[in-house]
Amino acid sequence: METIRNYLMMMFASLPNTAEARRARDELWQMMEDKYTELIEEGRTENEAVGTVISEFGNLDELAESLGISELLPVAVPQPAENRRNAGDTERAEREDREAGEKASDSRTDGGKARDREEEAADWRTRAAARRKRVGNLRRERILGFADRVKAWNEERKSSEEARQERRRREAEEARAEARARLYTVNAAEAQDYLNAAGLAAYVRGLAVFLFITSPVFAIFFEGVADSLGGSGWTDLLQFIGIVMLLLFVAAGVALLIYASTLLKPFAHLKPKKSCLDFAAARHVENIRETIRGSRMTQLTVGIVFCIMSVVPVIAVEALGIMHPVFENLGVVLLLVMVGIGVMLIMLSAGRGGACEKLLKLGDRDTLGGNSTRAQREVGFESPTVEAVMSVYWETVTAIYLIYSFLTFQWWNSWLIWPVAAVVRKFIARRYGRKAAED
Amino acid sequence: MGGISSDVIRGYNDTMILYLLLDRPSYGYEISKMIRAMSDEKYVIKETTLYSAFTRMEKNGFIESFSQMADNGKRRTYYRITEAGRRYYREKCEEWLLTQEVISKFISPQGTRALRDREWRV
Repeated sequence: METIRNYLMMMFASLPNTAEARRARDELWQMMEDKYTELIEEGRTENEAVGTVISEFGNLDELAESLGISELLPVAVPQPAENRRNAGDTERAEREDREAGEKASDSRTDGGKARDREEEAADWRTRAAARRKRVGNLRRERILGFADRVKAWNEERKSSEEARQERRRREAEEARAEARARLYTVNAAEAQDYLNAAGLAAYVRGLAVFLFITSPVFAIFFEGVADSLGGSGWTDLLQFIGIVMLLLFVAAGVALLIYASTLLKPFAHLKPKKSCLDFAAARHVENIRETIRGSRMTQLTVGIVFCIMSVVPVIAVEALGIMHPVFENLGVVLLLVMVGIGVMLIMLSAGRGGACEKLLKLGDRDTLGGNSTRAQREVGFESPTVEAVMSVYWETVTAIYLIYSFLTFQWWNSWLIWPVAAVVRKFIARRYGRKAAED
Repeated sequence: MGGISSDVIRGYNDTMILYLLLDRPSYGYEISKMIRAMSDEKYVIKETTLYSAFTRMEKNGFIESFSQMADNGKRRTYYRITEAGRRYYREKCEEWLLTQEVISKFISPQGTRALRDREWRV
């Protein structure tokens, strides 16, 4: 029975942990268990029963369609070699048994020595049995090495005391299975739709923040021009245009933020415990995540470089000793534009990758074997308060930025809120983020 | 050669399963056991074949699955045939009768010998 369980676990170990794969595993286990039980009741030995069940299991490729994919990735399918090898060992042990028995029967004719020999033969038999058991244990250990989960699974059924726990565990599993059945399953097409929408939303949000940061550039630039003109009639007009441009930029930014949130509205149901990915979708999203990794890193790096280099124009103007007001203010304008581009690139990089991670988190583990835990970090927030606050995080930051900037008109330093907000967000996620529940 | 080619029988796994479900719902192992028994042990359906047939037919609406306690207190997935499944079964029966009629015209008792003779001539 354990051998069959191990075999099934190994077959499924490398498959993604989707609802379909779990259902297939459970159903196949039911059938194999039934078959095994009946073979044993018919009086077959354990080895025969295990051999029959495994040889009649079939090919995992046949499940591809049931798992929602056209073909399985090449999986190293373990042949029932363990079983065959063990059958050989058993045969040898039985031969030794027989030889021992023959020796014993020979000895009976010998009268006096007969009892000694018989004892010797009995001793031989016990040793042979012990050896058989040892071989069995060895085989078991070999298989157990494959995964700790398999080991845990087996140890659970060792004693009758633990059988009660096992029953409780099974009940819990059934409850979970029911909860799983209620899950909404996301297919590859919908996952792709979400990634597209999230990508676009990231662009839109990045552009909005760019507009916020660069909104005062006209006001600042025209101020310099007005200063250089020296208080002619143009001054008031230029300042007026500057303020109008600032308001236009901010209004456009706010509109873009609202647009971005409507883009993602149709995907509000993509939440852990409410939906899960199917096999094909999980593979697809994983592929996308790997494909965009390079371009995301480039965006992030270029964004950071822009932020760092943004002070260069100001320093250059100062270093060159240019006192002309137009050029002095041009330095500040360039600083804001560069910071705007930098922050936009950083947000873009985070947005696309974040969408992939979010989708992958819908499956509690990457594979049924549970050997990958990468995608299960920070499923949400422990406390509902933090969860509520974080759901309107960027909107809040925007509001603070606008209020502070309009009240103080310190546009040249208020942009600092964006990089600081990004760092604070990361920190909150680390500190209050809930790790995926180990089930 | 011996046994049934899985390529040939693949198209008729559904027919066999549906036949066994005509009278009453059943579960995986019972169905595989009945297929083995009714074919006089000449055909043993693999577990993966059976499961993929179940999911495919469920998707097509030919069968429905439900969970039920078995006699030994274990929870099992049972399958029952739907009206669409019965229609599909009748279609498959007609299809098979036609197939059998056509193919059997090309099967002669000396089939194997004819093949050998032909190979000699080539």
